[in-house]
Formats: sequence, structure tokens, C-alpha cells
Amino acid sequence: MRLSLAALLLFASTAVAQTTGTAVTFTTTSTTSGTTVLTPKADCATPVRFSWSRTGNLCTGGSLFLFVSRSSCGSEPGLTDLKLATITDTTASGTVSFTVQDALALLATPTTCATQTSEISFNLCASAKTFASVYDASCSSSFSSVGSPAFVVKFDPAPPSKPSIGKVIARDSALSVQVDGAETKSTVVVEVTALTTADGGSLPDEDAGVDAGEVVDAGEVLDAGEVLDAGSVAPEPVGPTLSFRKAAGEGNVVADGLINGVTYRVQAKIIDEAGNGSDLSDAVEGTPVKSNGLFDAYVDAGGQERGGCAATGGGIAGGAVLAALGIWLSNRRKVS
Amino acid sequence: MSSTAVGLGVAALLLAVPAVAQEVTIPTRSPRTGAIIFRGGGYQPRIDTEKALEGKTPYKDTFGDASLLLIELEFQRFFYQGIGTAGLGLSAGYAEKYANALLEDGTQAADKAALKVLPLQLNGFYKFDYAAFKWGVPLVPYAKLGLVYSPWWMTKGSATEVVEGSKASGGKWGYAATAGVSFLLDVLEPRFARDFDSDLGVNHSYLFAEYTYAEVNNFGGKGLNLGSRRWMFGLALDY
Repeated sequence: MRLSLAALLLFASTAVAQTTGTAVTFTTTSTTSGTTVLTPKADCATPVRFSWSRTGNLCTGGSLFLFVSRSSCGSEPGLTDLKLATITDTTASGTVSFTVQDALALLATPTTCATQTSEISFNLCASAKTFASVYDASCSSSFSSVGSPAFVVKFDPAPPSKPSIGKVIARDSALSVQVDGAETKSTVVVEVTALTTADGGSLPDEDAGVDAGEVVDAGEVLDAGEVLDAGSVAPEPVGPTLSFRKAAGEGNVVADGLINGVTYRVQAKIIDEAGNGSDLSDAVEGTPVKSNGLFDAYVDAGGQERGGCAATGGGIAGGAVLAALGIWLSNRRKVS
Repeated sequence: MSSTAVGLGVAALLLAVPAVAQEVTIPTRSPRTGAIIFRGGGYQPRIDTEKALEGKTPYKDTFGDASLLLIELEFQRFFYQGIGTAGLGLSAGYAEKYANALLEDGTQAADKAALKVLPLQLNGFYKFDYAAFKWGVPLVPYAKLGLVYSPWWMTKGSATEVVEGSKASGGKWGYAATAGVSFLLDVLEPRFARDFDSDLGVNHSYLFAEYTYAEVNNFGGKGLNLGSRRWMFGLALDY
């Protein structure tokens, strides 16, 4: 009796092993936020690639479908889904790719990269028919989702709103720019362009909202409203446009390495998480000004300290003192 | 065995029990080998006293009469414990002060100017704690004499200042003499003090006030004077 029971158990476990369903694992080299692949409008027609690998078996006569869908993944791909691959054999891995453009074309109401103006998401799916039972390798009539992780390709065609510049604070060799209107997880980009020369050269156009060559006092805040007049001819830049960027929510963007006394045109734009760029903000002007810290004041007053080499020698001496402290403490621990 | 012998045995046991109990409850003092000291106070470097400045006051013009907040940590090791305690100490501290930089016309700029100092000191000390431990007087006067090295740097905005090609950073040597008095906290909670010793090995704890006379100008050399006259307050733990 015992022998019969053991034989039955062994037989049953073999049967269960035979009906282990397939499972697909997706990976991608695309930039993701968790399992979401963000696609900006500019990349609408650029293929998004995924690698896949699978384990387990298909039910007899069954297929593994890899596809992109707007709905859930636990079914056979429909007419509005974008089929990527159909696997009927024992192929264990591969790659699939598709463009958002292709997926948009199959929507119930098809759109294009140009006409799709709102955000839309697509699920990367893998589905296969389930086994009839744990003892039966034939296929049932129902499908199940077998892919993981649940990648979502999110198409974000909408650029961020045009930002505004709240303040430009003149600093020594720098401008500190407050940009308003940036959404979270976006990047603020500030572009500065010299409009005057270091020797006080004049602007080509005197009609700008801020007078040409005007030196903005340090600490003076230029209101966002103080922009170049609409309709006026923007002054011609006399230098290259420099770009500075910072994550939104991390405070003012500091444009440094500028020349004191030179007036700069300042504009900002926002790049959202997907990579869409906003229009440039209205232009504001700012002029870095020299300020004096303690060392400036000290040297101006005739102080003879010049730092420099003494710092190196002193650093060695200070390091030696600290090393002595460490050795002494180490010795103390051994004693105790 | 006679009943007399049994009686003597019981008596001996009864006598022994209190003796054992007494041995367990007698507090023991862990050996005292050093101290750790935390202190803080205002530190106003004597920058404006440099002769070359000829009465000009760049520190005062930038920071007014405000002092830097100096925080220090000191480790001491005792080499003599008899009539008082003597040994060597090493300390490290940090102080900084921020203010608005100034424009040419003297008005405040948007940039922040800062002075930062990292004083290091090796000192010898003596504290007269004999009276505290022998007669229960809770006040412990002490004195220190030390060699000082103070790395310093000055910033404007987020960078170290550079003026006429000279970077505003360096280090100054000097000396410091300190006198102070500690209040032995053990007298307030003797039992807690004993527990502190048996649990953590801290023999005594003190609150103290001290006055420091420091000359930190490369022993009279030219340049920045980071010396000061200052009061410091803190907590000391003997271990």
C-alpha cells in the first residue's frame, strides 16, 4: 500500500513539472523612470527596444504573444494592439522593438505623432494560453499575462509651459536666476548671452526694455515684468550663449564665470522628464558686479597676509597633529 | 557530628552571608586615564589689530562686532595623578561667520562673505582636583598652555576668495594660555555619578568656564592675526 502511494506521488509531481507555464522577463536599455519608458515628441518615430527571455513551457499547440496594448495584458492581442512577436517553438530569448508612431496608428481612433497632443501610455505585454490543468499539457481556452516587469511606454508630446524669470540677482562674476513655472522632475535651463563688452561697449539697439550698458546694482532684483519690449528689436549679442542647468526645485540657477560690468540677456526654458523642451521665457537683463568679501577688504586695507604656500606647509603640520591624535588614541585603546 | 558542631557551622554561614553581600554592593571606581571635553563660545579673531592695517578695520567693516561661534572637542590624557592631575591634551575646533559682501560704495551685495577657521591645539594642563576628591570641594581650578595651529579660509559666494592672485586660505601658528574652573557635577547626584562610572566608565563629569588668551600670528610674524581673548564654556568627562 505504501509503495503504491509513493509511486502515485512521484507520478503526480512529474505531471506538475510538465505543466509549468512559461514566464517572460523584459529588460531595456532605454532610460526609464521605474518601469516607465518616457518618450518625448521628438522620439515618436524612434524605436524603443526591449530584450526578452523566457522560462517554462507553452501548452501543447499554444503560442506566446509579445505585443503592445492600451489595455490589460491577459488576453490574445486584439486589432488595436501592436503585435511584436509570436513564439510557437522553444525560442528562449530575443529582442523586440517598436515606435510610438506604429502604436498610435493602430488605435481605435488612429493618430499620428503630429496629431497626438495628449499624453498616452502603452503596456508591453506577453501572454499565452494557460494549461488545461496541472495534469494536462493541452491548452485551455483562456489566456494569462506572463510578462514582467510591467513596462509602460509613456508618450508625452506636450512641452512644458513657457517659464518666467522671477528675479535676476547680480552677483560677483555671476547672476543668480529665479525661474518660475517649472514642474517637478523637470530641468531648468538658463541661457545667458553677453550684450555689451567688458570695456562698457554699447548695445546696438537702445530701445531694449533695459537700457544698454546699464549696470544693475548688486542685490537689485529685476522684476520678471522688466523684459525686452515686445516688438522692439532685440539687441544683438556680442558673445556666445552660455547655458546653465539645474533640477527644478533646487533653488536659483547660478550662471557663473561671467564678467563683471557686462550686461547679459537672460532667458530660461524647462525640459520635462520626457525630454520635451518649453519655449524660451521672455528675456531679462542682468549685469554681474564686483563685491568685496573679507579678504578683499583686508587686502585693500593694507593687510600683508597672502595665504598661498603657508597653507600647504600648515596643512602638512595640521595633518601631522591629527595623525598624532589618531596614534595617541589608538595607543590609549590598547592600554585600556 | 555533634549538635554543637552543627550550630557553629550555621553561625559561620550566617556571618558569611552579610560579608558576601557587602562585597557585592561596595561601589568600585574604574581607573581614570583621561578626559573628553566639549566646549563652545564666541571667537573674535584680532584681525583688525594687525599693524599693517594702520587702524583700518576690515573685520569690523564686514562682520561688525559679531564673533564667530567656535565649537571644540578635546581629548586629554593624564600622566600624573597625585596632588592634582597633569597631562597632555589635543583639541580641534571649527568656527565660521557669514555676512553680506560689500559693494564699492559700502552697501551690501547679494554675495555672502565668510571667514572659516579650524583651530588645532596641543597643550599641557594641570588641574587641582585634589581638594575635590579628598575633601569634597566641588570646584576644580585648572590651567593650560598650548601650541596652536589654525587653518583658515575666506569665501565669497561659494568659492574661496582670490585677490590679486592670492588665494584666501592658509594656516597660522601661535600659542594659547587658558585658565578656568570646573564644577564637579558628581556632588549633585552621587549615586548617578557612580552608575555613570560602573556603566560607562566615566569617573567624573564637570561643567566649566575658561578664559583663553591666544596669540596666533606666526609668533609675531606679518599677516593675519587669528589670536583672540575669549570665554568658553562646556562639559568635561573624566574616564
